[in-house]
Amino acid sequence: MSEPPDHRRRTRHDALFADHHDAVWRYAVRRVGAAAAEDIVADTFLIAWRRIDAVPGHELPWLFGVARNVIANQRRGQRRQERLTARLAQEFEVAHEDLRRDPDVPAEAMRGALDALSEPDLEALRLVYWDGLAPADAARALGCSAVAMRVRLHRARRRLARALAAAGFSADEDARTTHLTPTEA
Amino acid sequence: MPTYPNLDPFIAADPAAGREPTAETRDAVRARLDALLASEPAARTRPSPRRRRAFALGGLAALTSVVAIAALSLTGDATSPAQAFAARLQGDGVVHMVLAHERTHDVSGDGVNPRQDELWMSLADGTWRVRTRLYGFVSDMAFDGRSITNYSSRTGKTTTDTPTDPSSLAGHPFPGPNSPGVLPLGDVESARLKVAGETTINGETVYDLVPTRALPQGFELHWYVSKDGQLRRMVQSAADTIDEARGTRGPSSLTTDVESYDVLAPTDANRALLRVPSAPR
Repeated sequence: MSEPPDHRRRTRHDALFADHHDAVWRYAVRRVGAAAAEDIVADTFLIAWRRIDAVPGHELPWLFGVARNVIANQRRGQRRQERLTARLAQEFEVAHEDLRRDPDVPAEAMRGALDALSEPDLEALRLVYWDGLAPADAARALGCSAVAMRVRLHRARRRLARALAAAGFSADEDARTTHLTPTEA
Repeated sequence: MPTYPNLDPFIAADPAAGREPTAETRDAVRARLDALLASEPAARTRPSPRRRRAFALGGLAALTSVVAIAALSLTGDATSPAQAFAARLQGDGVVHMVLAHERTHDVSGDGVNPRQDELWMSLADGTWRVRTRLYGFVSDMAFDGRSITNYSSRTGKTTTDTPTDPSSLAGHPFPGPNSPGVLPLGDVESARLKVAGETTINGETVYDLVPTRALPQGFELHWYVSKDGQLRRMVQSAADTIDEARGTRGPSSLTTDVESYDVLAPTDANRALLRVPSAPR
């Protein structure tokens, strides 16, 4: 006798959480800081539960894509909340928190260099060099083609190297391959 | 072998490099996720066209039954909300509520504010405690009938204030003169709120309570409350909000669902929940 569908889904979701919680947590820490990461991770796995039948076999890039949308939604909601709260506060005296971000994301010294990059370029670099995804998996997380990701990565590497040099970091464009050449999938 | 520019400084700047979530972090996420899952229906599946047709026919039959039951209940229920409330929630237990994330709605779309509140209130004397989590920080505030103690994890400090009119705070942990009490049907009894109608939330018939006095500037409040007096949803809205940053104007609102609402027994351990702990988390 086969397992009931709900039990099967629950088992798969539990395994998904056990296998990928840490990676999704680190993904969130890299983008919103440790203080906000817990909520991002919980909401990501909530969506994974809602769409458990649609989760592909190669799970992590898909989860990163969900987490990316959760963060984007929360940022949009935060901006609206700040505006709306200011308006409603006149009548309701709504007490609201200072929506401060973690001061260590990213490290202070890197901010100038990273600000020179567009968000799509920076996200491509984060996925490959921080999250450890192969370019093809990074493409899945971002919902673009593998070819587009390779082009974006190439462009982003050059721009970041220039920005790092401008920010005072050593940025020789030499043939460095150690841990800078993620596996091509 | 392809060559790449030296990105070592970027790699070294990885804020999560070498970091692992602690067991406490993992447990906190799991607890948060379990609370969210508890209010979820089963995962969505897409049935086959044949099953969808069967569901549609079944849904029509169910809808017919619901209409019939609703008609019966409307004709047979002569108890007023205030009377129903008075007959319930007697005693001196501790109301415990967990609120979902606030949802925001305006002309530019919908959003979610990751703030989450949990609160406790004594039915015996209206003292209360509200713990708010936002971006990993905790604000823990308790009213003991005379003063308010407030702990903030951001500053690590605990402060105490003595309000000029403490009696007005008893039973009303939500800020603002027009906010509901934890027992909104009690506000109907005291004529602060009135029943504007009924609707359904997650299949449950609830009262739509609004303030008895009109609010200025097109503001509206709707507290949706179950027949036995449990707050289910709070909606605050403004008919005409001007967003100067985007150059838009139109209606906007904040919606907060109550994830859980229960009454704890009046034990010493449960009464202790009304106080800010010495080491809050």
